[in-house]
Amino acid sequence: MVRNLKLIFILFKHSSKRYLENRWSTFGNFVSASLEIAIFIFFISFIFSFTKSLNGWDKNHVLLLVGISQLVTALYNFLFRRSVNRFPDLVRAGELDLLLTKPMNTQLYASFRSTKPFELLNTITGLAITAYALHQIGNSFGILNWLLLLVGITCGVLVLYSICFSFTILSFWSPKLSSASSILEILTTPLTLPTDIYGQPMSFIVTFVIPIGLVVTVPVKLFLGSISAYFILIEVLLTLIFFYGCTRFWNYAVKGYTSASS
Amino acid sequence: MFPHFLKRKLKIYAAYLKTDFQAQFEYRLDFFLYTIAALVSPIIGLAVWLAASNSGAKLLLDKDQLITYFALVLFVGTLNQTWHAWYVDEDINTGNFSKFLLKPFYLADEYFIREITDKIFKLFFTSVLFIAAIFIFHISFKGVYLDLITLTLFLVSLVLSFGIAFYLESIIGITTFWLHSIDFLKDLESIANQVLTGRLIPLVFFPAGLASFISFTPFRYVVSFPIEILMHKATGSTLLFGFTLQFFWFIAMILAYKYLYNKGVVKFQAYG
Repeated sequence: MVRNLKLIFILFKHSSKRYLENRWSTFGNFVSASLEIAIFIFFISFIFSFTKSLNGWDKNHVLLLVGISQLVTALYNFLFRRSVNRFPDLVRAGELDLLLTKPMNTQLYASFRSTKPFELLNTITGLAITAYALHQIGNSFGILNWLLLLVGITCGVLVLYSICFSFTILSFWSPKLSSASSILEILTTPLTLPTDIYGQPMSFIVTFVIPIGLVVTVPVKLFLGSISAYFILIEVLLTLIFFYGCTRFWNYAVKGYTSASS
Repeated sequence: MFPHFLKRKLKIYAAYLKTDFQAQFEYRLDFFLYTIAALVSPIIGLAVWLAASNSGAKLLLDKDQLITYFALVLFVGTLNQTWHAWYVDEDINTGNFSKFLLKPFYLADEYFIREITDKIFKLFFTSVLFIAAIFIFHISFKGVYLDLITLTLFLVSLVLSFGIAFYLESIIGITTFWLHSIDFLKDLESIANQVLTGRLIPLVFFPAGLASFISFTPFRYVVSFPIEILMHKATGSTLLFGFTLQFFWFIAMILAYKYLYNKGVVKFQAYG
């Protein structure tokens, strides 16, 4: 465990140095992410200029969801996005062969090798929107609600990682896979809206089958108390199942890997 | 009958087309996922506006029109989707771009051919989805006009809209000559694509001032304008104004691309 944490710390340090080399790009990414969220808030406000609620969600609750989704996405982008998206390059260039021979957890290395430290800046916008929405909602929330939200967000990031990384593992069989960023887009675009707007049975499907509902909507509902606190157990259980499935898939792929250059 | 240079170019095009067709079959998963990603926005747009309508919102389009509008967005938006800026970025950053300096074949030519094969596949894929959507959502095509003149104008507008999207993407791609990373510009384009093209919000829902501003940007002409023609939301002088601006943006994009390309080639430094 300590060894793995040390590895993550070293990778994080390297990524930070690399990012400091390209400050313009970092600033640009921050501006575009903030703009994106500003446009989405405009979209939400625009919709709510026509109606007071969307399938039971009022404007402030949806804004809270936008804030939390920004937080989850920023955390995922910070920790995993670049590494997961660029994993096929490791396979294609034959670099994976060398990594597999090293005395370390290769999945861990492949998942953390290019963190995006400055993506953490985007959590500020997420926190600001969340704070604003909470201020508008006006209720005070207890320690249990905050704890449920924290566990929910952690599960959300892990679910997102498990799905995206499982997908990118396919590059073992298709090394030129370049659509890893698309799967993230497919998953994260609907995150900013409550899954309830899709109606039944779609809402059920996007919560339990393609579990994007678990990433943001369920944690927010737990926080607001719209669903029983026991639902957190289902969330944790499903997260563990997805994470375990992802690791098993990785082991299976590595077992059958015969090197891109052979 | 054909001038010699045209004959030669067509021969090269045919060879590339054949290779690219094979590549499309080879990377089916990529094609499938990129296309699915293009469907997300119209589906979310439809879900949100239907939810608003169900919650009692007074909208300028009724439920049937909303479903029809977003089904058309799905069709037009998927056919117009281009993503080659990422490949141009990779070509320039890895030095692979050098091949265009040696071969009698230009960067835009290669990506244009890739787009042709892509569109052939997409036309098939999108048509299947479109037909499925008709049955699932019982699309009545209320407010859609399918007479010969409307269809001809729609097709002309669709071709021009693809031209604008293609050259805009190419321009973003070749900015790699100066910026080295196009992430920021692609993000901005993605934002504009969501909001200003009509993919998420039908442009008729915007207040008059904002709608008028959007009508001067190229984004309206990528998705919304062809649909407006089919739904007779752009007629008479609005139609003429729309076509004039769509053609203007098409030419402006080509000229801007050529100018930037010539400047960029001078700046290009290959590895090794």
